[in-house]
Amino acid sequence: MERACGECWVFVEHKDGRIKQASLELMAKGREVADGLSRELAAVVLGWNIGNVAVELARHGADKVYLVEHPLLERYQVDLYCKAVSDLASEVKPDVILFSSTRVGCELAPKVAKRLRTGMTADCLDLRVDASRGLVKQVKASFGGNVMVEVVTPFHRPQIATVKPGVATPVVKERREVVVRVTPKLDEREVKVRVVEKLETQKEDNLELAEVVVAGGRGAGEEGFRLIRRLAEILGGEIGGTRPAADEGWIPRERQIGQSGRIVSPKIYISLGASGALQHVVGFRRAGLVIAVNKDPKAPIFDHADVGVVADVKEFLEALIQELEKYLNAR
Amino acid sequence: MHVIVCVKQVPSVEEVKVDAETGRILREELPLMVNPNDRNAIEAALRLRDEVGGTVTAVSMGPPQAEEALREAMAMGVNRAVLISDPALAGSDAFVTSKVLAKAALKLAPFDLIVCGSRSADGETGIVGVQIAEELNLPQITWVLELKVEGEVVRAKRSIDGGYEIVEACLPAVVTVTRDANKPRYPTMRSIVEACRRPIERLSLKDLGLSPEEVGFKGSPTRIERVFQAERKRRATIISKPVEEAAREVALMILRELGKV
Repeated sequence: MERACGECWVFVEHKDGRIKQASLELMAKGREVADGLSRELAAVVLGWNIGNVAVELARHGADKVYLVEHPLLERYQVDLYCKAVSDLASEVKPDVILFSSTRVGCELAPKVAKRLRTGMTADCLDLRVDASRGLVKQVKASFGGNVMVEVVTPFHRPQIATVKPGVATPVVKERREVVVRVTPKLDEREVKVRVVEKLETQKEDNLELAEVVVAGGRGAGEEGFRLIRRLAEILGGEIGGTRPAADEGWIPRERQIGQSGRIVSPKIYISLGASGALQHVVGFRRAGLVIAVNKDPKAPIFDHADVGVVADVKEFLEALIQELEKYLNAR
Repeated sequence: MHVIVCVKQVPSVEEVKVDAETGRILREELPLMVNPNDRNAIEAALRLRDEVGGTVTAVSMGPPQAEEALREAMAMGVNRAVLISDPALAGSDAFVTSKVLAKAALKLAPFDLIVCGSRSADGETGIVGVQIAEELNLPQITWVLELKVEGEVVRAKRSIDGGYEIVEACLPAVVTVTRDANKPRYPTMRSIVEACRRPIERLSLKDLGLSPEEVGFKGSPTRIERVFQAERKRRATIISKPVEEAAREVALMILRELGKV
């Protein structure tokens, strides 16, 4: 087995000088793993002129920050980012590298893992530590969320995982900041995929941070989703949905809740017309109060909710909206 | 143009049964099907072929019954089907699978494009496509929604965090397509019957120049240590009242939870 230096790394994403929420959560998870293994936690951040980001990272629990700066890293590009991270990892030999399950993390982590000739686990919902064996137990849902599996990488280093956004809460933990400046060797000719045009259509939504999430399934129907949007508006919440709802185009794919979508932890999660496929259920397990409405009293969703109503989604939503409006208008 | 499309046979995850005692997935009892996302990959490959001409080869790594998945791909319209099957491959993780599929692509070379689904329905890893690209040192374009080939260049619209981008790469390249890329066609009765008569080519480990030690359980860096059922933390209290009353109760509950009453 390759000798590892023992550091636990977190790959940090940022935009416009700000660290992404997913990365802050991952820092919290990384801190747990590093402490469990009695190792140092290092944040790895790539870009150009991003010194302020490095300072911020010490506030979120990093013992060390690898500040990898190069003009070619100003914009994310998978080939160059992979090279910069892999080269640094080959030199420092960290024990663990964690990425967020963002679009960036999902394509960068497997590439880095392959280049370093090691394994990886995608879309982890939790990371546990087996300190006696020095292993990170990577917990993820499998088979459409029907079962959970624990994956380890016993004989290869580093141990690499992507972790789903929404499964940890960021913490503020002041550490002594040690910034290690790294200048990678990069060449523009290594870029294999050229970006012709960027279309930023969606504003970053607040699904992971929302207090209320109103989500619909196939049983809600297109008409139901009109009411779901109205309800979310009244409650100042965000809308979401199941995979079938996204397949039908009733919600944007980015708002799909579940194992292959987003993980949310609102105070209130309202599920309307969803059957309760585990693939979906995994997505709101950390929610506070879960209210489910389905016209089938045997729907599995009721096994995953605190309160259930057996009713037609449209009828119920109309009544609920009326009730809430009555109250809110009376104030 | 020669397009290779990677196809995986997966259990129908809607009907997964787990042994209550051992927590083991009863795979043998599950109906098998083509990984839904791979149908999008097949569809994307077929459309490219129909536009610019050439052939589409479907490749699958799996046990002998994975042949059924390839028959389905043929029924959809792929020209050739290749099955990589060897007992030594059992237990292969994504790292090994991508190595095997990359070797198969080299065996089937020359090719212009490798198309994969963005992720599988069973393992849900989304790793294999990217790692094939890395193994072959080819451009990788993930999360593809639209795909076009013009001369020696592949142009794609892909989903990124917060939007889309249009990218270009030189062929050969590897792309992974999302579920929203297209609506896969249904095979016709006639194409299904015809697909049953056509041969499926086979490749063994030896054909690929791989040793049993490099693949399967032995060659895989990752190990599944434990399979367990996710615990159910809740069991709903059912409000059995007429809709208006139930709605009133739920409304109060929501307002209370939000601290508004």
